Amino acid sequence: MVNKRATLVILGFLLAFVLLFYRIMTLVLWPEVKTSGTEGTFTQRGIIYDRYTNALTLNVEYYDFYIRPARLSEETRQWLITHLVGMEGKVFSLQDMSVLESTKDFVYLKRRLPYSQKNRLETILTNYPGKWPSDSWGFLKKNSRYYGFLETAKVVGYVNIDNEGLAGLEFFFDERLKKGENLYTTLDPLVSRIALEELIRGITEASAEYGSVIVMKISNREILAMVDWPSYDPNVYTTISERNSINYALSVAYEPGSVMKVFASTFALQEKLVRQDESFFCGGSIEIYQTKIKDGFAHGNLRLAEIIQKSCNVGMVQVADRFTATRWYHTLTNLGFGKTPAIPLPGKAKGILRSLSEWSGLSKYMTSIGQEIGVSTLQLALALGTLADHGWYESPTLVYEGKEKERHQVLDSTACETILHMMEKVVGENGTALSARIEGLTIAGKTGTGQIAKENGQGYYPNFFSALFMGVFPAEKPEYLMVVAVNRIHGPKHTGGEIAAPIFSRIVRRMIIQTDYFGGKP
Amino acid sequence: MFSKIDRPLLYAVFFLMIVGVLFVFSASSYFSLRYTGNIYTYAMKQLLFMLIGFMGMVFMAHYDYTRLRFWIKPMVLVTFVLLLLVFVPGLGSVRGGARRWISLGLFDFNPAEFAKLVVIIYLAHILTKKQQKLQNFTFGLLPPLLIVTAMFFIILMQSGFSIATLLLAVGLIMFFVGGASIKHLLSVGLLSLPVLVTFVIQVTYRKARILSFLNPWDDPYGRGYHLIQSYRAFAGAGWFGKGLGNSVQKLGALPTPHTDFIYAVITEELGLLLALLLLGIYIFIFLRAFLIARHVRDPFGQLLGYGIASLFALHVILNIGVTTGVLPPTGVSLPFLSYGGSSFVMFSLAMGILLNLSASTHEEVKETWREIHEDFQTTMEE
Repeated sequence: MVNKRATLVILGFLLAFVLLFYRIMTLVLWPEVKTSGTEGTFTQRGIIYDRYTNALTLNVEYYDFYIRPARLSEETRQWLITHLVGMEGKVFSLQDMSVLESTKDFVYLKRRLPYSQKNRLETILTNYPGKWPSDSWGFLKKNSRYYGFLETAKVVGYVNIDNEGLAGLEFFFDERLKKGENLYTTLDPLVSRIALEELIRGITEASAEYGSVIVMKISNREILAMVDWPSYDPNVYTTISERNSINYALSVAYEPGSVMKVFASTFALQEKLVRQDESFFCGGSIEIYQTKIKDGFAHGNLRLAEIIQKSCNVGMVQVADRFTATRWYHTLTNLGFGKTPAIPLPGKAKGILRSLSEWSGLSKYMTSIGQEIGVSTLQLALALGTLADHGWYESPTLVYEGKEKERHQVLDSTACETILHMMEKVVGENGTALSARIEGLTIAGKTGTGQIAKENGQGYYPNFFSALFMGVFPAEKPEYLMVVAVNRIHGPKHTGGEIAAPIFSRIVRRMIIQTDYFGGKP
Repeated sequence: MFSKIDRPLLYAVFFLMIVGVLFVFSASSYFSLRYTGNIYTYAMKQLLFMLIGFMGMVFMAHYDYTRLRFWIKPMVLVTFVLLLLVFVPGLGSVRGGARRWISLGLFDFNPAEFAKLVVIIYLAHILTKKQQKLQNFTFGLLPPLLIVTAMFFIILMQSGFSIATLLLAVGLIMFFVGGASIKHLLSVGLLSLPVLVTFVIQVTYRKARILSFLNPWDDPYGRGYHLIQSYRAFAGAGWFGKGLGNSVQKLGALPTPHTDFIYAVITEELGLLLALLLLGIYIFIFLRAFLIARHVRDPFGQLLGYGIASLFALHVILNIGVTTGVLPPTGVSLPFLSYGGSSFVMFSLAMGILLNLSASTHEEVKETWREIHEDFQTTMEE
């Protein structure tokens, strides 16, 4: 009897062992979906900080709500539809429910639900009178980002539903952020906010299509603000479109127009091609290689300072006549034109600068007045930085990385100082940008009005312009620079002096009043 | 002596002991560093337990098991005393809400682990001694039943619900195999059921714990937490695992990676195939123990063998059952693999007894090999 009963016991145990075998295999080979969630051991995505080490990004948790329609009976399906659509806050539409009719094993009914909504939903579902089939619905906790600053949205970028960087710094530094590394940027959200607000106002008033502003600290070329419009809310995916996800400050090249004159003038002085007291005659137009270059009206006799002040094309072309094309071309390249700027962001435009071999006889004239060349706002800022920094070109800083930076001398130091001095007159009586003037702060600036080439290459649009203003302040001891670009203006006012200069002065004015930049703090 | 003992059993047990030390080291390293400042603390202790256990096993393998019968009264008495000593303030130490250890300075000693073995020896003795009276409830079944029940309640009071239930289960199996009337067992079982259920329900934390395994996601950060972390370990294992030492779940996610949930860590590191192979070794030891018991001619030895085999199997099934979420969470050790001295030494002694049993059958096996073989075959056919 003992052995018989023992045999029963052994069979019982063996059965239990077989069940364990099966259970272990199930857990390893066919785990429940929930087990693959990200809670538990997980590295928090690195934080992106502003220049004061305040966080520009927050790590937050969202919940993805899933349903496994194949496991539901028709009855439970109907119950779900009525109760979910009837849920307060209109979280689900009747359309969302169509997936329930499918025989799919797994569908997300709603993603990125905040904790409060998840809780409400859970209460409703647990109140179901019947019994749910096993694992027929549930929530997957997902880590995501919240962006507190819309004004840094373009630079910071955003992540997709799987918390992977899709744009901006989030994209460029995705690998490092995933490992939990933090980024310390040079951005100043307050200056960015001021710049964006004034830019939007300017773009609206001018009926322009887009625009951008860069504010840079000249020492170390730290980017305080890089804003552009149209933009998006990185927290709401539906606000992101193809048109507004372009970073207009660095991904788009346009003809800069007269702002190029300051670089050409510096080049002319440095090469000793003109004397400061030499005068040129402007009769309103001049013809080179059968191309007529015009001015708004005849300026008469002008010296170099007045060519800049009044932005005289005819005078500038006469100066450019003395340029050696090769040397001028190399100066342009050394200033960063036609080259991709070294900034840790995706989508950098190289700009348009035809190679020397493709230059026509006209090219050196046209490039000196900002045509036949395409630049990005960032490239302009870097070139202006060179002028303001005694002729030294330096690549920009957006993230403090302790990396070796590119720095080399492009222009002659005395020539740069002389030109900066001349640029002060632009923002004065008889200058093109009186509207950029600010009491108590000297500004060295230059306006530009770019024409827009037709897409088919057949000349320029007659009533379609880009307005630019770039400036350095305080002029006597340059510390900051700013480039304002308002592009594809449809409105009647379209010159740099009318459109961009007021934006510039409003931003500087607000920087004086609202920030500490001129109160001694760096 | 060595030539007579069951070599496959010895090798399998020794293999488990080695694997145990290895995995206690792997699974506890993070935990150990965090709580003791040294990654080796638990591994070194386990190594020491292994040495003690191995010596105990060798001793018991040489010790004639029939002489255990002469010690049975003092053994039961000492067990009761030790179980009660746990309640003495200063001696007993409380861990994780359970008062079940006697503090011995360097180690804490858990008398309940040994109580299980003592109950097996005691029942094997008493049931074979009273074989003729077993059908009589009052004089046959009741006295041993009372002793087992007394131990059960003492251990239950120490919050050792799992060990208490296990003791009861082993006891019942032994009564059953030992020839107690099924009618009696059923009535006792039915009568004690309300007591058991009330006890469980009264203590709320047990109620919550017992039901939590049904759906751990009801409370993923509370009662369901252990189990979810265990599931994660299994889910991350795959066929070949993450490699020795590479478990992620042992790094702070599983609260007790080196004791109750060590099997999850092993699976995560070695993968499904080796984890199942390990379970296979357990089954092998269990079957071997059963076969040894079956070959023993002496009824006491036979029942003793069945008891040890059942205890071993119950531990494995309960531990892995908890780890895989098919049984309510209880703190039952995985023989030779879980960290813990009392359990390790107890199983070593038990295996020593089995080895001694196998040696005692050796000559008979030689003589009556054919007979037993045929007997085994007919039983399996039945």
